[in-house]
Amino acid sequence: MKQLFAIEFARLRRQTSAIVIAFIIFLLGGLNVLVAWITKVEINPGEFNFFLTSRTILESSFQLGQIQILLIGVVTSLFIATDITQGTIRNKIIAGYSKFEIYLVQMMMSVIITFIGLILFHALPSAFSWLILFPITVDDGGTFANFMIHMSFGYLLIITGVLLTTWLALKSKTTAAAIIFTLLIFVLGPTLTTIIKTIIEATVLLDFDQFTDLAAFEKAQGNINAAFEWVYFYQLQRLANIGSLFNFFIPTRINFFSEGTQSYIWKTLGSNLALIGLLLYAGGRNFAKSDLR
Amino acid sequence: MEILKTIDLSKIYQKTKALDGVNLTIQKGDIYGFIGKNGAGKTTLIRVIAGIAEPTKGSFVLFGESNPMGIVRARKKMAAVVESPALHLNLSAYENLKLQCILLGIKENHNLVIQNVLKKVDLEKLLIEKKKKAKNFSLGMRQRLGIAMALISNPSFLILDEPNNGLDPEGIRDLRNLLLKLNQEEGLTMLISSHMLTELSKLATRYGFIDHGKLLREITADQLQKESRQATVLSLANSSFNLEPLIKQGLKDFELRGAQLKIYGQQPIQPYLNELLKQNIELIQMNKESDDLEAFFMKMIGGK
Repeated sequence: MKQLFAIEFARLRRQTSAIVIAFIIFLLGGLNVLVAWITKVEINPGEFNFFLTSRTILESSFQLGQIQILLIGVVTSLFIATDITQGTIRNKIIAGYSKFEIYLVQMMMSVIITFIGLILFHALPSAFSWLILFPITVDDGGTFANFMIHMSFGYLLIITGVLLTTWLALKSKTTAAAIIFTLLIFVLGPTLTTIIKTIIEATVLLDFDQFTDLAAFEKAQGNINAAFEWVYFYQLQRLANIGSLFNFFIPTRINFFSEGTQSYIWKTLGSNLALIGLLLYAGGRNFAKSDLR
Repeated sequence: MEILKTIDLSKIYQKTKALDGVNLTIQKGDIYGFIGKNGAGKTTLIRVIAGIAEPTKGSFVLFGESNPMGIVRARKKMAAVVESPALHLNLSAYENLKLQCILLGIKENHNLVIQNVLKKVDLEKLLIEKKKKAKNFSLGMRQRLGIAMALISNPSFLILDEPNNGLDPEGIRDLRNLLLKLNQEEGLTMLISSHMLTELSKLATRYGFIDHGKLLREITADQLQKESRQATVLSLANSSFNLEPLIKQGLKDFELRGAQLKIYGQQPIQPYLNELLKQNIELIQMNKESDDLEAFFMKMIGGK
């Protein structure tokens, strides 16, 4: 397995498209500092101020989160798919590695690439925060630990998505197909899920009059949203909005260990881990038994 | 010692039987010529042995290993170029070979190993053109590089699928000499599938004929020689002669191509020569010939 990792890293270093996209991700991260710089904050009703804190920098990084994830997805798809379409994956099989082993290494490489992407994306804003505003502080009542927990849930979600695109890239017959699958997962997926959710919501809520029966209306709305909490694509959309969910003025909203947010934690963890487990085990077995080009 | 033995090996793609119960054996030191028409199942068998495709039924033993993990381990002793060479097209020949060294966990100095293998396949010039990417190589160069990548691990068993594809006559000759040298000096066992039967006949020590996924026959080069039909070939001054009198004389089992009359078997030639002289047809040359591999193959598959 060591050799497989070694060859994958050697291959990654030589992949021009990956290096170009990595540079774009790095610059996107830098853009966050600019976005944060112009954050407009309402200090008193009607009174606004523009100021920069570590929080505003980190928060703003989520505003470009979806583009960053999409770019990482494209890099991993390209990286995996070229190995399949150029037939170089055959060299690994002939060299005496099992297909399951190759599959696991490809999956792990995708996770590593994702982390490299995330580090690159956060490099400039973090460096800026530490250098200019050291130490990073979370003001207005929130805790840095809670902020990090929130972020790690987001990263778990990204990893699940990336593993899914890796699996599809391994099944793709062309590089173009692999890229299309990535776009489907990271762009069309959340959009379609939102559309489906909205249709269900509208259909159910038509039976309630929010002006006469607000409690029943809100309950029905809550049930629909709860049902979608564990849906992978919906979570991805939520991730893009983490910045806006992050409200330091109401500390309980960001406290994952409060009673009100327990179901959200377990559903997120459960659904992501189940999908990761399924992709690693069933995907690996399926890959091991399938024919390559 | 058996290097490879397939046992009722079958591969079915939807409704097509690409391999139908193939039982093939390759002994140590063999250069096994694998012969069949397009779509006969040659590449499918190679893909199954190389691990790229999974068999639908049956099994195979590779270097004495028959269980899946054992076969994976045994593949470390073999190398293969299946269909087209699997190259990283955006990398140079040197980088491709370097990656192969890493993949195979070669401990010796990589530069030295690469130099040696490029010398073997007559691609030393690529050591100078270090930056030229594989996507800019000619088909022949890619083929040679693919073979270099296969040879870099010093395998005991080499599988080559249509190795002459894209090679010019000089390249074909060089490859033949290289393979013969590797077989004779290092005892390298080979499985070579090729459409170029004349070329294959200069190399192979054993043959396997496959058609419609079925292995029709395995035969050694010596046996093939013995079983080939003998013929007397008469090269005549012109082709304007009447065959009827010769047939009346008992001429049978013959082939006429222009001014060349090929008479198969042990037929008495003198009466036919006399008859031709009567027709004022001059004999230019007479020689003995036996069927070539192509004729044997055509006979094998029923002349289809």
